[in-house]
Amino acid sequence: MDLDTNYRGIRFRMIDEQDRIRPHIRLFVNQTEVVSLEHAVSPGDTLHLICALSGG
Amino acid sequence: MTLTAMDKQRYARHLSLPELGAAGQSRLKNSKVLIVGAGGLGSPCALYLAAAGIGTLGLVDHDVVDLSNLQRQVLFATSEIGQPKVRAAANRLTALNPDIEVRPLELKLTAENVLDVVRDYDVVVDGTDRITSRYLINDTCVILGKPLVSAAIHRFEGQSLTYLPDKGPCYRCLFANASDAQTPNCADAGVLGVLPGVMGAIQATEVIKLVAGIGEPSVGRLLTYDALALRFAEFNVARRADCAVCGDNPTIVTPQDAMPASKTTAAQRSLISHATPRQLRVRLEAAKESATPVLLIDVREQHEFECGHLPNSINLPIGELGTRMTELVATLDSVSRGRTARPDVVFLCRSGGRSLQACELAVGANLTAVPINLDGGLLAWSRDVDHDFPVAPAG
Repeated sequence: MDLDTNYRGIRFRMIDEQDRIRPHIRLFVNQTEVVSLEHAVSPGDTLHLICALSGG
Repeated sequence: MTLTAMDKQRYARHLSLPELGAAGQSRLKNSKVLIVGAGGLGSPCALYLAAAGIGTLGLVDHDVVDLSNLQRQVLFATSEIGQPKVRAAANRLTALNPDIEVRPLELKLTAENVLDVVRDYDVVVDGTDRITSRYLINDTCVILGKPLVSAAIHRFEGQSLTYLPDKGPCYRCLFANASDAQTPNCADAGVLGVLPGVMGAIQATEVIKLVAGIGEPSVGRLLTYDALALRFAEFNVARRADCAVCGDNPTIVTPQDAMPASKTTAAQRSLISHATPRQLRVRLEAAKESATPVLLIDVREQHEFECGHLPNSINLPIGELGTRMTELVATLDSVSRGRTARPDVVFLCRSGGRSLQACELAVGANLTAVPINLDGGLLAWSRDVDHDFPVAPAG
């Protein structure tokens, strides 16, 4: 999986210069939160990118 | 207060529900619910809670009705354009249910007034349209131990999460440190008019359940709604032990405005150094052969940074700097390791205003280096040093 190849710049939107997930983004594999970028995904897993929303 | 004969007629369909019944309806009647934001979410939520017989409904908003609101804010009529939202809302809600008390609170919540406003209510609904308000309301609810039903919308998608004191994660556990600059608002990105109808109705559902003591609230379960696919999803969110407000060692113990006014004194401001773009270029050249490194902190927003930035600069948007200062100190320590001299820390932005604010924050935080402001910012850099340097528009 190389999101940044298919969607240029998406990595920087999600990951900061210190290789940490940005604080307004949460990553979930299926329904479970993932805090490490080293987390392995299995075939059939769904990765959800959840961004903080402000609209009301 | 017990139910009157009129109540029994009005709420007959509720009384027929064994889960709710007269006892549940009485709880609704005796409850006080505060809705912050009389917008897309607040409108349907307030209408349903008024219809459901919530005894006291407080409504906070400091805006007036605008024509562009009416595509989704179903509380208001075209004839009410220009009127304060909370007053128009109070008229509408009272017409719907004259037996409840509606309190129009025409004010903006701030760190100074939020405790007094929230204290009197049993449940709080967040229907605001700014991340900074979301944190203020969340932190206040955690501090006061009030249940909070949050929701947010964007284009075709919605999110909701319910906080119950000591029972699950708060909004800050979910998003520790977001800023409005990272999250486009409805005015810029657009929103499907009916979307807040769905999410606001979900908030009203959660409030009724919480007050009546029935069902299972969405605590620790982030609910997302995709209107285009017509699909709901749920994600497990855990309370964070390091959460700044509900964690084991909270650092936020009183409500705070997102960016407190600078409290730096003239003496502290004198601790800030200044560099012109040409001076910075000389300093950067010298750093290549010097023991004193230069740490460049670009405090513009992420999208501005992406359009073009100085090599090796680190992006720390000004809105995040206050809460990420410890991270900056750690970076400074790691750059300093093994060197005899502390690095120069240069803050820069588009025109030099935000970076000066950053310098003041750094002085206030006792950063162990003299902060240097790039006067005139990257616009001046582009003018005086590198004519090809692309500077993104502000905002």
